[in-house]
Amino acid sequence: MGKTRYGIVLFVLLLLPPIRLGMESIMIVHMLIQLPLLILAGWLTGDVVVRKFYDVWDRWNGNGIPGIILVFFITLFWMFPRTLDEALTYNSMEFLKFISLPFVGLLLRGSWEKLHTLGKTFIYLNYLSMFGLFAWLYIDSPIQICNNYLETQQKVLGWGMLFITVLMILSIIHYVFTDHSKENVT
Amino acid sequence: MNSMVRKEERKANKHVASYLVIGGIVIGLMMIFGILMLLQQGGVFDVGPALFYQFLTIHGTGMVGAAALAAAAIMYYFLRQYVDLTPEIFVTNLWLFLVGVVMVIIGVFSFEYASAWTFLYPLPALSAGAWGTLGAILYLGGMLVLGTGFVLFYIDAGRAIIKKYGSLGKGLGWDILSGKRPVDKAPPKAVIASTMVIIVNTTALIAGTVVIIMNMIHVVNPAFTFDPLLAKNLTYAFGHIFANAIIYMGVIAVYEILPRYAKRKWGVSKAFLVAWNMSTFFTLLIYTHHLLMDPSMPKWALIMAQILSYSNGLPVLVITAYGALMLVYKSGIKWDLASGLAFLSMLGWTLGVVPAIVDATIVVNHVMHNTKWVPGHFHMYMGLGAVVMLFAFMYFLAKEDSGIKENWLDKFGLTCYTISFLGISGSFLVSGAISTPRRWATHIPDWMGPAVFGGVSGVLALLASTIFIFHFTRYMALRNKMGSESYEKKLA
Amino acid sequence: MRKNWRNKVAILLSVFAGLLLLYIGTDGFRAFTAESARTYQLMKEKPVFPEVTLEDSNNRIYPFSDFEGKYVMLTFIYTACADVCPKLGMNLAEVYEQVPSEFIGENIVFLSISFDPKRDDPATLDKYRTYFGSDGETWRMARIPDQTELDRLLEEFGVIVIPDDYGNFTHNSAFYLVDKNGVLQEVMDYTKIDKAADTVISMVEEEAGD
Repeated sequence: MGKTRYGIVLFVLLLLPPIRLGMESIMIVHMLIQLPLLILAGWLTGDVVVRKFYDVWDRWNGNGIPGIILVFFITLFWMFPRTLDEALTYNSMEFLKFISLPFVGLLLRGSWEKLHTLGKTFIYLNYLSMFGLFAWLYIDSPIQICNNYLETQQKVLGWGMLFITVLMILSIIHYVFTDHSKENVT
Repeated sequence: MNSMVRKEERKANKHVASYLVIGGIVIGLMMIFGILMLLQQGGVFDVGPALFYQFLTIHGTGMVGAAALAAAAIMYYFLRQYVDLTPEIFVTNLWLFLVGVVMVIIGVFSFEYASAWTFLYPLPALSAGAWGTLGAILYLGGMLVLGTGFVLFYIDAGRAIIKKYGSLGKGLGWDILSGKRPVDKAPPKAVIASTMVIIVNTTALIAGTVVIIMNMIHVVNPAFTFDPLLAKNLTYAFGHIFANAIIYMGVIAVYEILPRYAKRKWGVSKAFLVAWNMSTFFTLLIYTHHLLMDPSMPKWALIMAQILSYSNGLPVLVITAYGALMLVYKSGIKWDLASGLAFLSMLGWTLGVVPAIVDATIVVNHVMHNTKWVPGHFHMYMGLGAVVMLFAFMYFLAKEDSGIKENWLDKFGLTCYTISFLGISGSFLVSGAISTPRRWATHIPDWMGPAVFGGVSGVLALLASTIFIFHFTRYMALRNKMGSESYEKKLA
Repeated sequence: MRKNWRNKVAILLSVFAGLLLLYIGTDGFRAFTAESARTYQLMKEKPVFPEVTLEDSNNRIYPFSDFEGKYVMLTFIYTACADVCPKLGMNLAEVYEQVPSEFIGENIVFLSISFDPKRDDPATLDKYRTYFGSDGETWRMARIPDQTELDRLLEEFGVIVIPDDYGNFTHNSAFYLVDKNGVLQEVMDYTKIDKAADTVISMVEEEAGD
């Protein structure tokens, strides 16, 4: 129950105009802090929802694959420069952002654990290459990708994404080279 | 219980056989394109440069793809005897391969996409009107689908190895090298080789995914430009490693076939482990020898490329070739197609490395890398090394699974294949030595002789390969008949 | 088995929903940036060039409607720009070269509009035009002295200009082709010179053929 409360508090905090506008004024904070925090808020409240609708959930998302597919597409959608831009220009997109990302968190809560190692690894590697690609795109692009942000901000975001990519690479290297013989891997 | 294991094994063999027959047929078809290219260069006929480059593209893509597919079947067949692989993933990979191949073929022949299989940025978008956006997207998209299948396959194999042995490090025998466990507790050779391939190919495929999607973005929206040097690095980190890994999957067949024929044990030694660990590491880095002519690359990277290229394949090659010799020496081994081809592949691998080492020397590279010397190297290495392993495994599987007899035609095939491939790679090397540029649709008369010789040798190689594949399809037909009979017997 | 069936349907549905989201969000996989979305939108809306007063490098002052009856090939620039504008100018010069000379000045005029009226006075523009071989007549360079008129034009044609702290602007770039009634017909990628030239020539030829 405590987790749910934190989730709701986090969501409300993110909604507060000064925090919201402050975060959105810097591109890297917008994409790499605000968006993940929205997902986190959904993840924290997800427990309750998943438990409440357990039967339906289990019937339709038994192996976690439908949920993770939606997660993949929605997060990909929010990595496009255009959506980030339009969230600032159109209220409808901003609204969609505050709805869809907590939903991603919720889906993640109810899907990730159900995936087998194979599915988890595949999704992980997908995100790894996506972050790598977007890092490259944002750092290297000679044109201004977002109309609302300057080119320098876009480069900062690129370096941020590269940092995440490197962390992800190190973490998977760590995973595959440390001993798991005492664990039960499915 | 036992019948269930049998049934499962029969099903696995069926999947493996499907991989091999598809791989074999695609390799045969790609040989036709290779022959056509050589004859075009030899001035026998003139199909025009546009079609030549489409042939070049499909030949490279198809050969690497099909050989990798068939080699993956070898890896699956032997690895599944030690760890729990998922059959569904193995089948999924085959389907994705077929979808990818169809996309590539449509892209190349219907939309005239012809960037060569290396699709070096910004070529996919810059064709001077030779092909449009759709062709490039279909080709690149096809590669992406192909790659997805292989990624799933390697993740599954990696997962299974980690489950059984604890980690990929242990799959490479790190705990034995560090002295924590005795050498007789080392994982089997198939596991060690598979672990190496999983590591290098997953890396390669991730690099490939990034650079392929980047190319697609550039094709759709040319205002997004990217650093071409980084793109080249990623492209070769993908292409070189992926092509290189074919032989490391194929060699599993040699490890498993020769001891059975020689009736001797081919144990894992510490030297063997060291060799495979070194090759794992080097294989990840040596793609940079494709960039020896790029002056904007940092100098240290190029020097590293030269040194590591010398030592890349060598540890595994030496340990394997020496091991194979010792195994066979005075063992009274029974020579048939499987063991003969397996042994030939070791010879081809060894020979094929020599021109590579010559080319990896920076001074030589500047002169040789854009000549046909390089295709000479990889036709020897692939044609007499990797692909021979695939054919060896085909004969092995056919014999194991059905008891089909080989005849004089198969023996003729072996001789014909060996001679013809020496002819093909020899003609390429001669062309390189007389400074014939590679990837040129037309040759001046001085360069035509070796090309025609290569083309004629190619026809013989195609004939030999057809004999091999024909033998394998005979086995598959026999096997299907046997399968239903034994199934009926069981029912009765 | 039943459970499995539902799960499979859910997989299909989620793939479909995901692709639909991407499809709608990118105008059918056409526009991945706000800029390309804007271009796509502009081509659909085809706005009319608003009434503005231009002051060109020859110190002439006239309304845009003076160009009525001719196609106008436009770009938006500022002369202090060191990165994209020179490229834009060079590429426009190449398009200019490719258009057959009988059409130049008769059926089509080239025009570079500065969005930095404070610094880009006629003298500055006159010097700037020589860098690209513009004759000041069939390829003119002009500023819009009235800031409200300028802003309205930029808004209508979707040109975003963000000033930075160093006196430079970050802005989007394209070729704009306006027909003889002042209606925007094409927004073209300024890096694809040949494609832009083909579009311009075919439009002008069609018009001249009538």
